[in-house]
Amino acid sequence: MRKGLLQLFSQLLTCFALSFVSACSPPGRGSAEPASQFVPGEWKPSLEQVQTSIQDELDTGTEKSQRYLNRASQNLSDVRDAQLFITYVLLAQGLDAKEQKALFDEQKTWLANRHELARSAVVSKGGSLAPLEYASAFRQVTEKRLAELEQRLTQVTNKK
Amino acid sequence: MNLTAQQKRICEQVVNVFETGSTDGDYSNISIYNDGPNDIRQITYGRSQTTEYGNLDELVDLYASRNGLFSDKLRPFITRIGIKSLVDDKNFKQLLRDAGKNDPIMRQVQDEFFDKVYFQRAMRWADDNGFMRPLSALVIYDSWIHSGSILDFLRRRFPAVPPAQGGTEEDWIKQYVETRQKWLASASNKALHATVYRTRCLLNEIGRGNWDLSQLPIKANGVNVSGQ
Repeated sequence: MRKGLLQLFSQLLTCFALSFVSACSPPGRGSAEPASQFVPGEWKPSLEQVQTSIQDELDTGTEKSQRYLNRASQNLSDVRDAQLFITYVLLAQGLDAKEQKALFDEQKTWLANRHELARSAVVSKGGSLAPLEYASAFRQVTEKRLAELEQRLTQVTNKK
Repeated sequence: MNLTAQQKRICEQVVNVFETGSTDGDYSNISIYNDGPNDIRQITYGRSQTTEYGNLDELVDLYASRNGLFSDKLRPFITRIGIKSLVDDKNFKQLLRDAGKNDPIMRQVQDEFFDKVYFQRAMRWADDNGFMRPLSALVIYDSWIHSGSILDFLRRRFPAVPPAQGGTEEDWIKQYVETRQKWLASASNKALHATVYRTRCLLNEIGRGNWDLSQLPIKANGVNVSGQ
């Protein structure tokens, strides 16, 4: 069930990405004109229940194996990353072409830094704990960025 | 480290339970984590989890050389593992799953491979540092599987020295496990807190003086291990 949902969202996100690339193409670039809307306003996919469900399972009960913990942690970080992707796309479509380009560059730099930050949080020298350390740090960094972009999205939406 | 076959089996079974919840481990397990080079997703495979950009090529190469049921189909992938990402290659992943699930040769190969990569290295460290007791073997092997080694930053947090430097084996093992427990239970990365069942189990065995692993069963994360 959760796997199916994640697959569906993965497909939706691919559509978002393709739409975004086409919306960022040269005609509008460099001008202050607002980019054309490419995500219908009423389309707001939510991953919140998937996230809560994984977190609840993780928090309840005992006797969880390392494999379970690693997978759950990876699933949570995947969901957060997908939420960040959605927020990024929604934010980008509310910006003019120049701002979109700035956001794109900013995000590219941030993505490179995220890996470094997550990697630096791993203190194990390999072993099965390392993926848990990495995925958990990856999620924390992603959540911080998600909060930032959500705040900016609210500001952009309120301006309209 | 001179372990009987049963003592070695107990060490493997306890760690298998910690890792997978089962004394046998899971030979067909594939997990995808995004901890590959530069943040990319990578395949993690097998009973004790080897990675696509780590030693998976070595494992598959060994399996291919043993004429297992899926050796011919897996052979063409060997030169691509760790070079070209195979994380989205459904055929490759299915072949690994099928081999782990259905071919006793793959299980045999994994046992040999993980014994060489983890168990023997851990026991070499134990020998170099003068450890001899079977429970010490379990503690050291678990640290190797979980954290990749005996962690230096933890060693600096307690005063005991290993037997090879004149210390007492039991003191060192107890202090190492207690220090590891404190670290896992209070790490700023909260995800680590849930893994203290390992050190709790080890401390329990230290507490009951099970140094030769003869008091059975050992309760590992809710599963009874008796080395059968």
